[in-house]
Amino acid sequence: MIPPVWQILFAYLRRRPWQAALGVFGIALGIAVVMAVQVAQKSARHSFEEAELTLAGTATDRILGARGHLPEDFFASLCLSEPVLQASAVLTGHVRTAGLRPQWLRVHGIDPVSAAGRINTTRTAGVGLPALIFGQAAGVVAPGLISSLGAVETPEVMLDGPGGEIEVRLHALREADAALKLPEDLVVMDIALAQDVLAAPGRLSHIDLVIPDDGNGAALRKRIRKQLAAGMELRDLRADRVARQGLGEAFETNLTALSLLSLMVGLFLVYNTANFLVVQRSFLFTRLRALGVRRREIFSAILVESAILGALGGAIGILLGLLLARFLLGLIAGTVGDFYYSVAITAPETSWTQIAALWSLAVITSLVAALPAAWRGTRGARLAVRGIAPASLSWHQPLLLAGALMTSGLLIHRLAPPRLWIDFAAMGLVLVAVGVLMSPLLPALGQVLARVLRGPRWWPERLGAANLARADNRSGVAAAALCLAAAVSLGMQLMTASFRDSVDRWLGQLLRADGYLSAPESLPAPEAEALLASLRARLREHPLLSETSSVLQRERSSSLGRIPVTAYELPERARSGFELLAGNPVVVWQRWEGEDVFLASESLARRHALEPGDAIDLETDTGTHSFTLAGIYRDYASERGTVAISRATSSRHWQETGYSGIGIYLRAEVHWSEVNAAVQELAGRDSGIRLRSRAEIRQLSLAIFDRTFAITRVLGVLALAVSLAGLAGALLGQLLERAREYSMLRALGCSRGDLARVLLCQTLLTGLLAALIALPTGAALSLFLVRVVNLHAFGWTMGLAFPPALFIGMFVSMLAAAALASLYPAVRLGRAAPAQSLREE
Amino acid sequence: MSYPPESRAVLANLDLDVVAGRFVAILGRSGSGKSTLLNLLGAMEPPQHGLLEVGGHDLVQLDDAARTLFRRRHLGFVFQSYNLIPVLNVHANVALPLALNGVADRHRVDELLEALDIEHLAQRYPETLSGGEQQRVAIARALVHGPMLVLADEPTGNLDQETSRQVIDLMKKVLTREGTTLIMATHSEEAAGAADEVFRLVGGALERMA
Repeated sequence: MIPPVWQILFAYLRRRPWQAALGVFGIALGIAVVMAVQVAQKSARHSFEEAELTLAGTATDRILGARGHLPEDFFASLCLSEPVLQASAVLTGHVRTAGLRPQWLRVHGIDPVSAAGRINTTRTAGVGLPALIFGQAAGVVAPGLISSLGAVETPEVMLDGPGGEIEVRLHALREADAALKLPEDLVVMDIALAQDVLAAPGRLSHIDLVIPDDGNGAALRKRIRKQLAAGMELRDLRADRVARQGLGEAFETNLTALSLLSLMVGLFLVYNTANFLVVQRSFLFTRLRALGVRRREIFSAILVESAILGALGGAIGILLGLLLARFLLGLIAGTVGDFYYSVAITAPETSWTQIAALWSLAVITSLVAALPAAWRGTRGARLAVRGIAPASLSWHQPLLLAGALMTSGLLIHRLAPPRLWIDFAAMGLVLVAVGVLMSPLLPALGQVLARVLRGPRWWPERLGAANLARADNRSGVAAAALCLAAAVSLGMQLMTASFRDSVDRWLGQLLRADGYLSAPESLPAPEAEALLASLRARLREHPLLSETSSVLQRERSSSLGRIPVTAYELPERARSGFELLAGNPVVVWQRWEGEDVFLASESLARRHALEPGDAIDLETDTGTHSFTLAGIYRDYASERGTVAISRATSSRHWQETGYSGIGIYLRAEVHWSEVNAAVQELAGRDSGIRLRSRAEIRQLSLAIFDRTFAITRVLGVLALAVSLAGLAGALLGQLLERAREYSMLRALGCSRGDLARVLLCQTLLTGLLAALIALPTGAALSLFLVRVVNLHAFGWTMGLAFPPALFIGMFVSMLAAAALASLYPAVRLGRAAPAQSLREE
Repeated sequence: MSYPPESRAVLANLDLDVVAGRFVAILGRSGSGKSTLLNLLGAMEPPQHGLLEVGGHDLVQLDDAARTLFRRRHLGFVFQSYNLIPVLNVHANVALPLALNGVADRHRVDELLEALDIEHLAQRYPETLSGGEQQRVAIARALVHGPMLVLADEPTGNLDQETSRQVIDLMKKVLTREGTTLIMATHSEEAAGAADEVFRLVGGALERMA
């Protein structure tokens, strides 16, 4: 049997379904945002890792050829010499589809028989095995590719590669294998077919190996290295993967920060709602106590009710969060596509553990929020109440708490080792301290304004201010949530603006050539480099051009591990493109070509604590050589960092003829269109060579930057929307609680407009105070993100940008949104009948 | 007049004429329609049938906005549960009807507080006052803007006998001084005894008692 106190509490909520619904909605909204961000982040990461794993399988090592190719015979001799070795031969390349919607595809040729029967290193092989073995000229692709090609379920597609046009039947990865992700621009086929399509008979791109991580594995590696011919290399794939995961750190950090923001705002909202549900019934509890109900009985009933509402709100929030995650996933998938390759992230991925954790979070937060209110509310016994007495707020308690939180945050930042999560923890403590300050500041502002607004014309505003002056804790918490959401959103936007500004300036300085030539992205590196080399040879003496520059990017083994090494061939005027952060420019450029010196990008130098004068060893064609660091330069191209050397230095140690990119400098008064036409003519119309102007490259880079950080803006707006829903909820709750008071005002002759002014003043003042606190907090936060978090995470320093438009925009939108928050409560209030005030409870 | 319409009518064929400046008490049991009658007289709801005129204003013809203005200018209310604004102090609560009418008159507020013997409570907030004190604040608020009619709904319902008598005496004294008409709904024979005229509401109609 349900205890009578429980029945009373439930009956109360049944009689006031709006209040119950408001409570559940508040909890649901908070949990939904947390759920959405976490699920979207997890799904994107998982899809990316799956795509990596599907391609590389569980391979631990890879044998690479000298010029990007290996002879097939080497694979045969390797298998004969090491009969138990798990090895898989792979040939990769690029083809173009012929037909209505031509597009470039990456070919991934494997040996399905050996892969499935003997070694099973490539998960893809297992998936498409029947099609690859028994189908003639068959390929396995991601389901999305079939539809993007505009074809039927298993279409015949003409692939146009170096080996000419070959018809291939494409099989989509089965739905049942959806756990295995294939990039959407990839076709997996039998290696023999790949050799035909790519005109590479007897050639392999690489051999994937699975080598155990023990003493036997080390011995095996040693034996394999002995078999390698000159130029061949045995590479540790796990180290590569670690480095590759690092590429996404900036993006991950961004999402993590926003996830924490949503968690903070969400929990504020849940706390506020659960707390309100208890506070508003204080009078009921005191009457029950007066009737002889024990405190323990009421207390347990409140906790049970809070748990039920938390569970209900949590469940709805989880469902809402899954819907919201679908939208966020689109944004995240776009960014992954920009940086890596197109991955189909079709559905939000979650686990029962995650759902259970969030659901528990909703219940626990509701319980924690209800506890203090329940403790206070059940203390005394009274039969009659003279009205709902506003909670008396003391100044010193919140001030002391805020001071303690802020000091802890600053101490952690100062004393703890520089770790990203510690930075976030310190930041979180300071932010919560700012939020806590809102509780005493809001009534103080209301008090001041209530005194200032003396004229009879301003009585609605005065009443609004007086409402705040005597506001209960609920308004303070709602204001704190709004303030925090706005501060973090602004901080992230300012950090992004600073970052964008720095990248823009860096691009402006770096890009010295008038145009840049690149080979089609789909071309394999050796072909692309060769194509650019032949083109540059013809461009050197072209009458329209005054100079050319070049760049060659390589991954090389060094004393720091595998690192990117870029060889630059720069004309004098392009050297100013390197903004030196350390090192004497005059000395650097004097030694640049003639000595074995290098420049380190800022992130590389910071990651490995390099300073000018330090030396690193690089594996060259002629053995290990030492190179001296001449200077450190600003570079935002990669978080891993880069070693920059001159092409002349590169040529002394490596036999390279190709280029990854070419820069061209126009003669005076030469028109861009003439050069473009000349380049296309020289390269051949079908070569796919692309010439982009400096402005175009800059625009393209910034467009990718904007796409990457689009989610920052969306989540910032979302957090603001949630906090505003909290503000509107607090106001609605107050209206429901004080319905008689407002209808009495109507009875005294207040018009609906007057009451709307009361509410508007209340929300505007809350918005104003939240904005006044949020703007400097956001600026300080951006400073922290730029100077501390970004530096620890990526090793980049950047200038600070404080665009006034962002501050003004945030200020205006906070006030506008606060005004909006009063809209629905005002409409509800307008409907209230004045006669209600004459009715007794 | 009648309200509401048809068979559910709480008030039917009710006829009441009140001379300006008089104190009229309406007695009735709980649920007899006293509050409904005050709602109608207070221009909060229009009657479904009949004539309703207060101070020469035909309330039946007024729309919602006009009724709001009418209440603001010409009526005062005293409620059983006081209905003071908890976030405003006593002085601001009393000054509220003046502010609604765009008037700032501290002197008038102070004068009424003094007349009701609560001037020492001016800066206090409602929750710190006793029931009798709160009701005196409510009376000051009802009179501050000089209404032609004050409607009181069980003004002594929450007060003890002694305090009730004091409140009624004070209210009568001040209203007489102001020349304001008072219509009070009550179930207390003793409170009604102080009135110039007493009616009993029975079956939706009024019967004169004294």
